[in-house]
Amino acid sequence: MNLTLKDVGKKYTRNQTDFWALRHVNLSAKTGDFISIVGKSGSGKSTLLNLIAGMISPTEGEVLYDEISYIGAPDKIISKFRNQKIGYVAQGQSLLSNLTVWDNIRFPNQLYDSEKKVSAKELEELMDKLGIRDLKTSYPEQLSGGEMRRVAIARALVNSPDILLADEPTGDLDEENTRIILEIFKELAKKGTIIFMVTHDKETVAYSTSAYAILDGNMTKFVKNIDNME
Amino acid sequence: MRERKITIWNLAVMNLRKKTCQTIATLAVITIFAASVFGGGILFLSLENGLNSVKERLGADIILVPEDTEEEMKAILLQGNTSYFYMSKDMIDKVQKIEGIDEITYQYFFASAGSACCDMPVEIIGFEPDTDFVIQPWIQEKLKEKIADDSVVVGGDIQVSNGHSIRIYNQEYEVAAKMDKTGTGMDQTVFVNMNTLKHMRQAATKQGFRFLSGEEEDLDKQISAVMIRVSDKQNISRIAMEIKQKTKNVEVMISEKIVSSVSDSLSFIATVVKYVLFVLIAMVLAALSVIYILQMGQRKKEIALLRMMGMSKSKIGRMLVTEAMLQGILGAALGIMIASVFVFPFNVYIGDMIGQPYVQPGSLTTLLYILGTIVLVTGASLISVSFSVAQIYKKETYQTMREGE
Repeated sequence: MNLTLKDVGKKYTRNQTDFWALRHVNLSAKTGDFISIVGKSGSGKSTLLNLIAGMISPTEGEVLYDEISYIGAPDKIISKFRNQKIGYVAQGQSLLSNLTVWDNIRFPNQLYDSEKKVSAKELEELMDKLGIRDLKTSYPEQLSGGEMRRVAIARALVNSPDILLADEPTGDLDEENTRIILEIFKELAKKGTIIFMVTHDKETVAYSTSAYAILDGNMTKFVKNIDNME
Repeated sequence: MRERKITIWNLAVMNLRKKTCQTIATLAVITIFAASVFGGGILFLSLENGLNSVKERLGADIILVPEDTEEEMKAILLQGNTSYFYMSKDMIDKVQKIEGIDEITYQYFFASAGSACCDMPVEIIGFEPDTDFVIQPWIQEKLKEKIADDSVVVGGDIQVSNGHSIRIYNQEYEVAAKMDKTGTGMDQTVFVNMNTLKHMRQAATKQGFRFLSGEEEDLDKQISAVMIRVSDKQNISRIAMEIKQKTKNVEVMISEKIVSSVSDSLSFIATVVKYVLFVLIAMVLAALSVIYILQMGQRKKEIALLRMMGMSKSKIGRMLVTEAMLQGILGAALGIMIASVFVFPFNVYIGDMIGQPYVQPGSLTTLLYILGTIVLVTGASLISVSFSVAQIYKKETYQTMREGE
């Protein structure tokens, strides 16, 4: 898949005042790209991920997936597209507390009747890869931060998405867990998944194939050279 | 082993199970609502049935009783009190000459004692089968032939301990039939022909019981009430007035007025029940709406996560509606069960407490009312959750997620 953002901008209204969270964003990514997004808090990093995920519509510009725009499409179409093409690892604890680890992971695969049904064996293999097979019957409240994050990644990968969006996936993890997760991302990218990873940590950027910085809130500028990111 | 599919239904059930406190709190409100609607409704229907039953069972247009015994007569008819009073049988001759009277008969009231001689204290009404037009047509629903000597027909509330006879003044009398409940005093009454009544009187007198009507030989000269049916097109009030003018020491009771006193009480209760129900529905709709909106506030992150995974707004809406529907049905069922525990086993006590004719609705009516309660309560739950569902459609997912963080 090719992803293209053409002069994308997103405007919000806060206290009856309009402000641009992102503006003039131009970006393209192709199969196998592992892209890091860095920037200060509130600079619009999460807004960018949500624009790519189709969870918000751009105020201006367009987001194209293989040259197709989903702006203005019915919610059912966008939701199904997101379910089958985009995996999302949200910030913080993002598991459904009412479901076991097993049900959390297979949940996105159960939402729509499609041909791409994942078997129990495939699910176990995925869990093996992430080292969480033993947690099958546990509930999220029984897991550590690192375990929860790995379950969230497994869930994001269950439908074999073309794009994986990860919002600070290693933010609250120790070195060991951070390394495990970044290695998994690297491997996924090698196999063809486009990965967007929002991060505050410059060391994790080293795992990506390219990096972008969002600067100065409204006026957004992207740089590709990691060394120039200060 | 085949794995359970995660459907909207399963997800809703899992959510309700895991959010135990929220589910119990919501169910409590719905259960109280359902119990009030069902209990109040059954109470009202029972009173309405009681009124209809009184209308059907009174039979006579005019009832004559001895002076100052009108209230006692009402208590016998409506509440099943035991009482007896007497006047001269000559009263029949005086009255039946009045123009416009179609049928005339009499009744003789008697009571069993509460001591060891009798199964229970009950009102005993003796009637003359050849002239009776009040009791006989009703009894014929259960007993096709005329009531035989030394056999009795008992009201719906009288317990026949051995199943076939009743003991009154140490004599066993065969129970020829047990009537359906009417919600009136007739449910606690034993009906006999005059020959049987004489046997009962003789047995009572032998055992030392004395009655206001005097000695044994006076029985043929005494009666308790004269029942009159007026010819069609005749004015009941006019005939009642004429009876008053031509008789002394007699109370002239018009059946319609007895019914209208019950009807007035019922109409007051109906108005109260109706307003209480309206207020209750409004309060429950408001309370449930607030509960669901508050719960939505706590579930913003969960909703946002579901959207991230690709769940459409309509699927999330269906999940919330399924949760509300399940809570509505479960709460309605619990409410109906709780109300039933009080309303059905204690119906006689409730009827006595209210002091009005009280007849529980039949199985079909009760079943329809159960279904109606479930529909009303579930409907209220669904209307209440609709405000929360509307919120999902209004907001962008990202905004919901930010609010939930």
